[in-house]
Amino acid sequence: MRSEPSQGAYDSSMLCPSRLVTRGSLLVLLASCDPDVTVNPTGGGSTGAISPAPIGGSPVGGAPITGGAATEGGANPVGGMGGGGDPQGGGGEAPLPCSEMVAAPAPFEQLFGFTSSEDFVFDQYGNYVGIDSNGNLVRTTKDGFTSLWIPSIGSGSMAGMVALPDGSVVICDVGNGSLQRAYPNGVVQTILGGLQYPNGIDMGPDGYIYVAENGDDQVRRVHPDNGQWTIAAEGMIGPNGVAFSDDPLVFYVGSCPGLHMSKKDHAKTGSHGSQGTPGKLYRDAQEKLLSKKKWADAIAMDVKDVSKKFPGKYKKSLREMIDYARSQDLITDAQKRKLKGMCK
Amino acid sequence: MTALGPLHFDPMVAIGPFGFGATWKTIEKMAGEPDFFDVDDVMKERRETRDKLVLYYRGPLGATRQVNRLRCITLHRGADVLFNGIDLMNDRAVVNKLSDLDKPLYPENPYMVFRELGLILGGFGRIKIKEKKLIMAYAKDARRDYEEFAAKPF
Repeated sequence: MRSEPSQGAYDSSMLCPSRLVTRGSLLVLLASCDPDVTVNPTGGGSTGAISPAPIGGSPVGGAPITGGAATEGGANPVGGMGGGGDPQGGGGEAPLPCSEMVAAPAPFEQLFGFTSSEDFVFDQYGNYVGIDSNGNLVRTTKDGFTSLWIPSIGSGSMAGMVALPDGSVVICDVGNGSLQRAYPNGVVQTILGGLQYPNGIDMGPDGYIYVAENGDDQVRRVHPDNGQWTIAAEGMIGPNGVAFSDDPLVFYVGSCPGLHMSKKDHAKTGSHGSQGTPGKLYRDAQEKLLSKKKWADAIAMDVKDVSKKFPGKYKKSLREMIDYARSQDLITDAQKRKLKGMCK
Repeated sequence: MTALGPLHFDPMVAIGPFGFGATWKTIEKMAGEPDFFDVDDVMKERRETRDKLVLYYRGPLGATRQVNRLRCITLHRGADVLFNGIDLMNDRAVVNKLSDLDKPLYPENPYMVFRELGLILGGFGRIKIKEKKLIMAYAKDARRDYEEFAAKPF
């Protein structure tokens, strides 16, 4: 449960290798069939499973969200998006079909200096946009010049970002459980609060924002201007990442199983932000283990912590989490047995 | 609880009788039993509370085995620790005064580092921390861990 200082009821990050890929560096894939699907150099999948979810049917298209023109007749709440846009650089080449991509592993180049941004986007000018190690929203040009866009945005704990056609970006603020929209002029607007661990975001072809709510196992469809929302999909397991396919009626949601806990219990765990400095030390220690690929030791921290604080209550969930880690080849059979023996 | 102080801070060497690198048994012989202690099998550390100080006996962050050597001491509100005549926890100008001796790293982060002094000041800048204010003094061999800790704001 290596968590940011969040109030989320759920934290799946420990078993989500995709979290590890961009820590401290940015891996640039030189050949990939889809920029939304990360090739994971750790060997595991970037997410545990990917669930397609239809849009336009009853879960989404039922009740109008705003009741205004924005949702009707193709009018677009952010204007002119059409087919979802290409925030990554002005309508370049379409992604290759996966059947045509080069054999794995794809070659990549590693760029350094990207220390804290769990997600990032490219703006309409091709600049990298992400969060720096001080929690600032920054832009970096192709020649490597970084400039401050917005200082200390939100809680500084972000887990998803999408660029909108007007030059703004919307950010999943995990720490505050909100969506923050940052405009080119430096204004920041909270679009929506009360989210349970917003973790992954994309814009649909309808101009709405789709945010994976990891703590509530659902995806919300959110109007980017006024924050009105409906549930687009629910009943998923740890949704973590949303991406639209080339079929505008289908979006995909990464599923990253983890440990389900009550919000109150989660706040008592060693890694939670409410623990203050000891919590940060816990997260740092666990991150060091993860960076060394000592998966079993990292998992053991959470197993011991949760078992000690809530004896019996989460034993089944912990064992499921361990099984999942084994299924991803993160731990060996022997480690699995040892970890299960720690579950109380 | 035994009131401690004033204690003198010797960067990366000791705070009063609590020398970095010493075992808890050695410290106990010199300074008596702590007010409270616990052994944390998750963080692989022994923590001792002594008045307004907490002593951490541990190995590097992320160690998988416990190391019983004093690696870090945290100072909490009311701690009476002096360095070069500066009351570290209670002097309102502590950041300025320490800055005259060592340029702080990450002054905009919740935790700023005085690298040459082996000190981290938490909550003394613009961004506050849960404990409001806290100072971490650490052993020389722990510099890397704690500097990395402070470099990441959250």
